[in-house]
Amino acid sequence: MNELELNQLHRSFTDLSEASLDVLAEYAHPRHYEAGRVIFEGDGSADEFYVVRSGTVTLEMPSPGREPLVVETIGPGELLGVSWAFPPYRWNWRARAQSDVELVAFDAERVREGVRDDPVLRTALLEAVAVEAVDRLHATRMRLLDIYRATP
Amino acid sequence: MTAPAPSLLEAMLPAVFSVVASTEETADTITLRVQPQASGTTAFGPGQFSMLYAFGVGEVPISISGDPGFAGFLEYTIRSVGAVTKALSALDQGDPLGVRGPYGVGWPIDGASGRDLLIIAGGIGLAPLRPVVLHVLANRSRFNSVSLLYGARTPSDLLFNFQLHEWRSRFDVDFEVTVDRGDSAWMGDVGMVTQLLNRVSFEPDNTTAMVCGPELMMRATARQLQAHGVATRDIAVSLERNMKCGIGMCGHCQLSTHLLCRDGPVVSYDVAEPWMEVAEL
Repeated sequence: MNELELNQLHRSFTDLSEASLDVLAEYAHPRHYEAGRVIFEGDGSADEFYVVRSGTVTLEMPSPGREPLVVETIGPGELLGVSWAFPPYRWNWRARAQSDVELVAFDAERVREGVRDDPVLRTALLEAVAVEAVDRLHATRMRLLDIYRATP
Repeated sequence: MTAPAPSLLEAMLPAVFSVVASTEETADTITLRVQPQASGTTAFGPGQFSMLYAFGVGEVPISISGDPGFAGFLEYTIRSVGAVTKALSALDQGDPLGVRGPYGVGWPIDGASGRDLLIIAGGIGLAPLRPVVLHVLANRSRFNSVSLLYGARTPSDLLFNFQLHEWRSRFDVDFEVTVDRGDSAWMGDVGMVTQLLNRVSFEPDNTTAMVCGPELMMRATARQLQAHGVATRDIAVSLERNMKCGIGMCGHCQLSTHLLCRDGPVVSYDVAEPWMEVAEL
């Protein structure tokens, strides 16, 4: 994965220096999942994180006796997985490819180690996580308000 | 030469229209196609509304949801939430209703020519934007990139299903749909419509955004658009208040310095933003 591709992969990567992109590129691997494949399970170890390049991924909760409950879909340019950044580094939701999906997978353990001495990259990655988490928090709050419900 | 302005009496007198067809959109929403029995205009601009009168029940403002390129009839998409909308929803082919209008300022389509266009709808808010979509698709070459983002409560709440498939099949329009809650058959996106903004490409300083839905949705969307760099003046929203006369006489729809039936319902977000932060005006 080259620097230019990484630079355009996520909105928080656009201002990264060449040196930081070089470091990040070491941990990045392209990954393909066919539609329906599970990318990670809800109780698994968060040892990778991803950015979606194409296709969509559902975040879902298995439910006994019924179809899994889909809480959100993640699409191109969005970060898949935030639990890798904070202890105990375990996923909370199952991620499944909704369509054929192209991802860039990052080795979370190596990233956590590697950014210890690189405050710029560390900040950029934490910012990427925070930006996505805040956006999803706002969106989830709006959905909780059920604003499309009919009111007289 | 311009036509003489109608007298107050003429402006308040509904023309009698007949229902040509009633189409069920969702469990609580229908689209009425109506045509004048004798006199009555069917010309309108996208974003304008009419006062619809269910005889013996009352009158309500309803946005025109049909194709501005089709003469001869008007379409209204009506959600049954009160006595009047319930009566209008129960009308059948051949039934009469009163129509006044069209009224108000519509979407800034001419100003969007040559620019990227974002059309963002939430829930029943797709109805006032449908004339924009139909106009833009019929005049596609006048615009740069065109993106239509639509959010609904559930898959069964999606309006204009037959047309959504048609719009999705266009190669010259980015069309994204999301719902707050999916079901086992839903294979589309789940999430808030604002999240779809990350999926489409546009040049923020050459973009016109038209946003319609509940005010909370419009405010959240406008903030996201601002965060993406779209100028506040280039964001248009459609505001609903208690329209009564439709001609700026009665003051029921006054919002700060504006009478929304006359100066709206579509206004630029740099006008609307201060009002949308106020609990009660």
